[in-house]
Amino acid sequence: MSGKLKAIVDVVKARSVFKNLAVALLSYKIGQDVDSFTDLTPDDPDLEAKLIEEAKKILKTDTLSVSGISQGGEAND
Amino acid sequence: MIKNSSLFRLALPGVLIALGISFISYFLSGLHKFLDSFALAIILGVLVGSCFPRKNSLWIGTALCKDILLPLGLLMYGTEVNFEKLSLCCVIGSNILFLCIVDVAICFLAVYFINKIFRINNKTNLLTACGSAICGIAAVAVGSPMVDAEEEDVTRAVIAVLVVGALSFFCTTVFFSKFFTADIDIYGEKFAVFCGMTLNQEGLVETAGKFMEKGLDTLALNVKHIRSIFIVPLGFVILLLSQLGKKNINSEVRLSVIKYGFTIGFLFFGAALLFTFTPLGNYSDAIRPMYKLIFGAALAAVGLTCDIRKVFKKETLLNTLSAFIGWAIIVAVFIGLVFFSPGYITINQIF
Repeated sequence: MSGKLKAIVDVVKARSVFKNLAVALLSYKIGQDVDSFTDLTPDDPDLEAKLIEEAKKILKTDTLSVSGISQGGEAND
Repeated sequence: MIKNSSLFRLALPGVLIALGISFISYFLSGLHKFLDSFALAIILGVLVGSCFPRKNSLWIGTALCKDILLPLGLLMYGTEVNFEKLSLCCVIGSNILFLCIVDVAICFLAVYFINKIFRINNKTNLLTACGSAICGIAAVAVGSPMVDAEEEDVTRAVIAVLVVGALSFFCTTVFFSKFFTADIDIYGEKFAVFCGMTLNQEGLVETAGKFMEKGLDTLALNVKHIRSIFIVPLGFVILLLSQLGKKNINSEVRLSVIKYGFTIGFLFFGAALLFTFTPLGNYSDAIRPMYKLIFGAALAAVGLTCDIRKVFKKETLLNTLSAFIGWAIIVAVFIGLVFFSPGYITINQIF
């Protein structure tokens, strides 16, 4: 399975006024360039959970719904 | 969440490097009209960015440049689009506006569909088509936020525009200048219109002015300015085209891209209107160096985060080839008009 990491980054971009800055902060926190994730980037449950956690902090929200991914970072389907 | 002071500290290296590159590019562009400050900024950005083994030191600063300086630069770039230039059509010749529309439409569609045949990435395709049809690097820079382009898309489009610009300038000054002045157009007026219509960078048109009779360089530049005005409608066209054919995309993401594109588009359009029809237009000349530095820093930031390995691929070569074919097509259309309808391109007044 692939594409979940990119889906999270896309949602962060979509919900931020300064989308490049939001993605850069996410990259900084995670320690890797999250903007380079593509639909073919393999899923990684640990990284998904970490991404969602940091994304919530950056977006200043308690919940982050990404299609196909639950709050904890696990797949809905 | 990172505190504001920490954010400032993290952003500072990237912002300073981008501003430094922009300043150097602006200085270098002053040495010769052929050198474009935006092109130099992105090329130097790519070169400097490639020298950094760990780009994460630049992530936040360059992101800040792209998010703040790019829209600000666009707002200021609106000062360059003067709608009053449309009135020049009445002075130059009523056919000029129609010719500009045909020229822009043919060049844009030619590059767009050739790139479709070559299966070039849609964003690279749209930026290249826009840059080839309007005003080169500046049009690529204006179009990049509208299509939500990646750094590599912008760099590929800039490479295509630069290479085709140099080739078209060479062909124009070596071959076509003789063709127009000796055989067809003894006054060189049509050659001036030809340069304004077919060369993609304003600097190239200015430099080509040296090959014209005295006073005709202004005519060529005015035709180029009329052509540049079409950046406003074409910006919205590429925004809509960028969303066509995207099936596997989250509706929230699509909506945010469209909203951002329209905001940027109206910001640019609004600035152009404001600086054309209000007294603010008197400050255009004072703003020019500032917008060149700000826009240059945003483009340097794009270059700094560009992955050079993704750029040097067959796709870049094919993209450049299609831009060249697009230029050749508009040249053929123009020469066809001169041959088959010599009275069509008439100039009312020489400047």
